[in-house]
Amino acid sequence: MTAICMLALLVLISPVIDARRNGVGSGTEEYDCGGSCHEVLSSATITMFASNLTPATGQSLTVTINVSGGSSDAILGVMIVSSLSPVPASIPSAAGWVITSDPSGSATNNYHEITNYASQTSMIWTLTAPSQSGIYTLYARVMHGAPSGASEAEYAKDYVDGLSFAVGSAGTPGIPNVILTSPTEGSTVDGSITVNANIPSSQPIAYAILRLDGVEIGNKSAVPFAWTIDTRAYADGDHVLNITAVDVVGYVGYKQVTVNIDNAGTNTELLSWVWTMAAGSIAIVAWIGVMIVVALMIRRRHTMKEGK
Amino acid sequence: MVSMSALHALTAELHAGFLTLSFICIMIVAVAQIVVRLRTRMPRKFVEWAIKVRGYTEAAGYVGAVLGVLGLLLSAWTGMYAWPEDVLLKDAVVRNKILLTAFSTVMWGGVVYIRSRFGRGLWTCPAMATVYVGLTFVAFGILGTTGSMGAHLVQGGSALDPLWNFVGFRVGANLVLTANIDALIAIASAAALFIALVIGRRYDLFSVKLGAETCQRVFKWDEPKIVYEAPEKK
Repeated sequence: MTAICMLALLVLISPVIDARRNGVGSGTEEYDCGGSCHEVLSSATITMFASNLTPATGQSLTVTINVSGGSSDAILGVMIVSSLSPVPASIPSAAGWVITSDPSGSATNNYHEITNYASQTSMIWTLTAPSQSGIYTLYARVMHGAPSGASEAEYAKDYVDGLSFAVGSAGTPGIPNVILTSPTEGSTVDGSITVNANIPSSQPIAYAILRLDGVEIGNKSAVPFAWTIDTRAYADGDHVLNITAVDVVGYVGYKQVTVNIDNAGTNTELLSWVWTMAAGSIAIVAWIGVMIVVALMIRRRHTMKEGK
Repeated sequence: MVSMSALHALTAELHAGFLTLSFICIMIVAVAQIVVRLRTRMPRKFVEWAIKVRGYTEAAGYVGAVLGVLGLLLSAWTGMYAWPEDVLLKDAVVRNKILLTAFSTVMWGGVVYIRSRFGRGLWTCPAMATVYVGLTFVAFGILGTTGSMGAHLVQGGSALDPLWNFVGFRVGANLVLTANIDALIAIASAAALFIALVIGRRYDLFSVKLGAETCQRVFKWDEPKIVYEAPEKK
């Protein structure tokens, strides 16, 4: 029954997509629709580069977004966003970035649209890094347009990897600079997680130690500095992860983040999923049973009529 | 050593192939039945073809469904070991795929049950044939949806995306219901099934074998005959 309801829902829900064709023009746009929803995954190839991934706070840098392939339509919109969520905070300025120049060279929009896309383009934004130190990520979203009235589906694609910037993390010269890229400070984690770190240093790193609540988890002497932790072995709540890196000269770098382990929430979600599966299966069996009985009843009625 | 991912890909192709064959065959039989039903208004040759074709496709549809269900169970088993548990259960698309695969398996199980329980005589009863064809149609639709989800996992998109785009369905949407609604659905369904079985027993519905003699006599069911003409002896 559940499955039938879901299928019926699929059919009954009328298209609520506000697909605005012919482009929307350049502007400041949140992630997602940007005034025009594009739901179909584009086959475009997107690459993203920055002139500096470890800028000082307030330092100017450029971000280049290259797009090739995808829809053949001449309208192409590219947006640079600080998160892949349809929220106002996805506009880079919300994360502290200041766009000083967009690809037009004369405006400061995060969404830039062109009308002469011919299978390859490159767009450059100039930004000023946030004034607060930390790890920041910028993403790109590409949206292909379609001529007005065309039936062609509208395509979009995200550069989901994003570019991670360690703003204001140049550190002390000579000291290994530990940048913990994941998990981030204050994040909620569950199940098995991977702790990733970049450790730029003027001298080779002799070893790096990961500790959780002060207890050593692992020790590595070469890249990648990545460790896997099964959080189910720990109680739910706040825990401290820290990485200590020592270079061959003996200089020590250190970074610490606090994460919230929440496996109970995940378990509840999984339990709901199992319940839905069980209830749906029971509903389907019942539906089949009822339909068979109804069919047999109809047969019986006709047989009785013919008998008369 | 063959990896579980490779085995899963193999079994997925296997069940998809068998069930697609079954779906096509059952739909052909349904169309053939309509042609036979309207035989007075159809060209005679056309009706003869319909009768012949349904005889072969009916059996193929049944065998395809049986092997497809076995393939589905095998796919579920290999899929469990193909990826780590974390990956399997963390991704909403994977969870939806498993959920709909379970529903599809139950439905295809229903298709096999109906055909096994009532035999090919079910086609002589329009009501039962409608249940059989309808169930096959919905089961195949759900199977197609799970295939689309698989394509999203493997290559980030699927050929059915324009359809999902049109109906406003997101393969990554959380299809899980709340515990209260689940309980309500399960209890109501169990009660409906119980009442249906009581009615079936009360009127002795399950004891009659389906066939042209016990149904509406609107469909004839002539088995196709393979005629072998032996060469004449000199």
